[in-house]
Amino acid sequence: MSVGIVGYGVYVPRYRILVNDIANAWGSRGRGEKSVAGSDEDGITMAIEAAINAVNSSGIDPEKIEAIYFGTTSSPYIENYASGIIKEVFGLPPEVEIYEFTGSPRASISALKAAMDSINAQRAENILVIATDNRPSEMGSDLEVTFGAGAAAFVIGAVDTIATIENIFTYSTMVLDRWRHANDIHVRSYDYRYTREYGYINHVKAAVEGLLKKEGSAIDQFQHIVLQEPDGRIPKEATRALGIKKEQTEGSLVGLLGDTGSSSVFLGLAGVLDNAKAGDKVLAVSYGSGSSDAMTLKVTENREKKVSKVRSLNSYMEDKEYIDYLKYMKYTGTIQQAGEPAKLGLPPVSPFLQRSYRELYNFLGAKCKECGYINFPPSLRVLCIKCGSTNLENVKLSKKGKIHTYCINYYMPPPLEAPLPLIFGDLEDGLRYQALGTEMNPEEMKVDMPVELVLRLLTVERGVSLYGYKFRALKEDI
Amino acid sequence: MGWNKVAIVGVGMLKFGEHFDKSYEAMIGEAYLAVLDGVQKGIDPKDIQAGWIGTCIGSLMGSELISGSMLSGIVGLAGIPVTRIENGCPTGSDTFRNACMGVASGLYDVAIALGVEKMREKTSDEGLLAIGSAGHPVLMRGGTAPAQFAPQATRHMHEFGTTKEQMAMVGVKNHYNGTLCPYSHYQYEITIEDVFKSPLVCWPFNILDCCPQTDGAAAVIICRADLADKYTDKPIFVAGLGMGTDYQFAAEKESFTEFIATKRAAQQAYKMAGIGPEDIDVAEVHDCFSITEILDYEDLGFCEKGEGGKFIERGDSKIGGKVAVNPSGGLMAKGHPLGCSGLAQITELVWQLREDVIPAQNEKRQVEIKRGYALQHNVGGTGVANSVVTILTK
Repeated sequence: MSVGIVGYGVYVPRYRILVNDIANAWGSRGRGEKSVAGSDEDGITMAIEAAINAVNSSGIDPEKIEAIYFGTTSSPYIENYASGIIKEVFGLPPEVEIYEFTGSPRASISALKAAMDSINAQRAENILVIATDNRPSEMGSDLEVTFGAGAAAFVIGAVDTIATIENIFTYSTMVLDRWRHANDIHVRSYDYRYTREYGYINHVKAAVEGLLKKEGSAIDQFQHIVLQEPDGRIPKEATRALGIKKEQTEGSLVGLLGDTGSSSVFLGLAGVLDNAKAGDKVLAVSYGSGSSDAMTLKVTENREKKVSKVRSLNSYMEDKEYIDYLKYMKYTGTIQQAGEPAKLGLPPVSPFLQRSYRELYNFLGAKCKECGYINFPPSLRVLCIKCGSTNLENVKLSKKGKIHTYCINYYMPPPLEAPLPLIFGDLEDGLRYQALGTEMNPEEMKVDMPVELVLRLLTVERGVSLYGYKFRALKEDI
Repeated sequence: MGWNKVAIVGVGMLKFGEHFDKSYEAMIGEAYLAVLDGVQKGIDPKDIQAGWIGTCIGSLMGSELISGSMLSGIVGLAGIPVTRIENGCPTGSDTFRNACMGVASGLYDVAIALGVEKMREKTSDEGLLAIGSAGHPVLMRGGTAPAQFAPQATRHMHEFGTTKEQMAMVGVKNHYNGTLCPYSHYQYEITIEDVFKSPLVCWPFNILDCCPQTDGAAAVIICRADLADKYTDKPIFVAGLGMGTDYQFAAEKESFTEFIATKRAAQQAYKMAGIGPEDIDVAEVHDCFSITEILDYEDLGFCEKGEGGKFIERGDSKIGGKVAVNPSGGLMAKGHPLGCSGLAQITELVWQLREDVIPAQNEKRQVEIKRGYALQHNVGGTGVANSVVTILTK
């Protein structure tokens, strides 16, 4: 039995800012660009999009997922399973366990290792491993110009693998180079050269050397090498120290997305898998807070048949919109419009919402067996609203459709942001659904435009993040 | 002939506007005094056996539980039965409808229906947002009052080629009518260009496509038709009453180019009155937003489906047109204090049918009464799925 990646998916928010636009505000200069999560996105919403892509590419029925391993350093919660909602989205039963890994950007590799252990121990056959990060940085700090946002997910299993995971070597000591205390809003960092030399390079080098020794291989045997990318410079120094050639690290993303934290190595791997050939050897190396994992993967023949189902990393890289620093500050929540925030009709911890999660997030309708009408949401309907029948059956609904009609609100209180489209969309199954629009240019909206529903953060009230579907212009597969 | 079991013997209202200096209770008191004063031959308050009060202030403020004693307990009528009605935008008209049912049932000889609202007790920013999100905290997130009607405009434009110019004409007409009516909140005329230049609120609505937020109170005294002579020489009779509903959520509607609740209410009311839309001289209809009045023309049968835009463009709904719509200025100029709007519309129609509008003998403002029927209409509430239509006659 050879454990490996059965399916993979990524998500990168569509907003980008030029690093120079941030640096300029503080009297300095910078190169490259980074991804920025929209104001209705967080680590959870990004994780969900990546996870859906991963499950789609795996070809596995979502019901076959036996556990979710979730790695992030920027969970919305310190206590409470932030990833619990992911189970609801896939409609998974209560027996499916969720594990959350955190502590450093290598949280994702910790999650991956634990998932492999579980499969090797035959406790599970398919595990969804998700990496996501949208780390908070202080304005004007070195980290502000580097921290980006993104997510990537793998379905890990032992059957029909795209790439097998051959070996992992972990090297870990106690280092304080980047940290965030429970009382801190932002990540802190220590001296740059200390972080680079004593932290990153020492540990990455030790992990890679340990791995090569363990499996008796040499660095030049790898077609692709993916390194954790805390910035553009540190990994370059490490490649020199390890004798890595330029063509082995073509998948560098940091100059386009910034430091995506836990997602960095996963995204890099996904990019490699989008283009690798069967038989290619891949080295992936993580680093975070004094720990580094070096991992060898081998690409299999299955890659080619599964890759066609994947929304590629490239498709997310190309679908981008540049924002200025002012908008960036809005999206990161640094500044907010004055005014009394618009509250939910009910508190987010109400029983009403508790009993609605499954149908809202897994997206279920109550289909009438008499007249065929789809009632939504099921928890509000004992009788079919059209014919009065009680013969209703829950069905999973399509999230794709087209706009029937819409309007665009130009005055919204915080945390809502104008211009805000409100859309009535006709979904493929026949349900007409009302939702806000996201990432839409009012000028381009029109009746009959193809749209899809994506889960987004609606609001944070009483310390609870509440999510709901919004319409987005349909992203074509591939 | 229609139903005619119930007669209106007195109407009265406050000038609509921003009553920052008047309490909610004072507005109730003043509307009560206005309606007593509006009974031509006078009325002994002891004759009033029951009351209905229409108000949405509980929902608007989010923390108030208003009940019937808010009427009887503060105007010297403590003791009589009073029911509070809240039913979205048709609250005022449904208050009237319920009072009529009380008298028609034979339970009471004389009753009062009073509507009151203080919309301006909150800032305009906080106004109707919470109401727009009613029904489901997730599904309705980001809903606003204009967002309940603007999607209809988009679809009507798409299907029938209705234009923003035609929509703007509704405001132009109603603002003009408002300048003739001393009870109207707004007292200025506007042009199509003004509408286009006014800030975009909720596409396709500019702010002058929208009614203002207005404080108001109005009251009506009704009695058994056979007792009307005791109170007035000019009773107005209730010829037809209708109320229609639709589904809870806007997304459940079968069509975004009509309000089926309006059609259902109108069908009932016309049938009860034994008349058709062609018999209406004057109508006070729901024009919370410009498109609403255009849909009303179609839903109430004043014109064919899809012809609403042309109906306003041809001038068919102005005073002197085919049917005078919203001679008071409508919700758009006179104002829309939810619990009170329907009762204020009835007040206007009673004046029009009696041919004694204020100011008196104003030819521009007085609609010519040829056929003797007037129609009142509201539509709104959750999913814009509640509508009341009342038909009055001389």
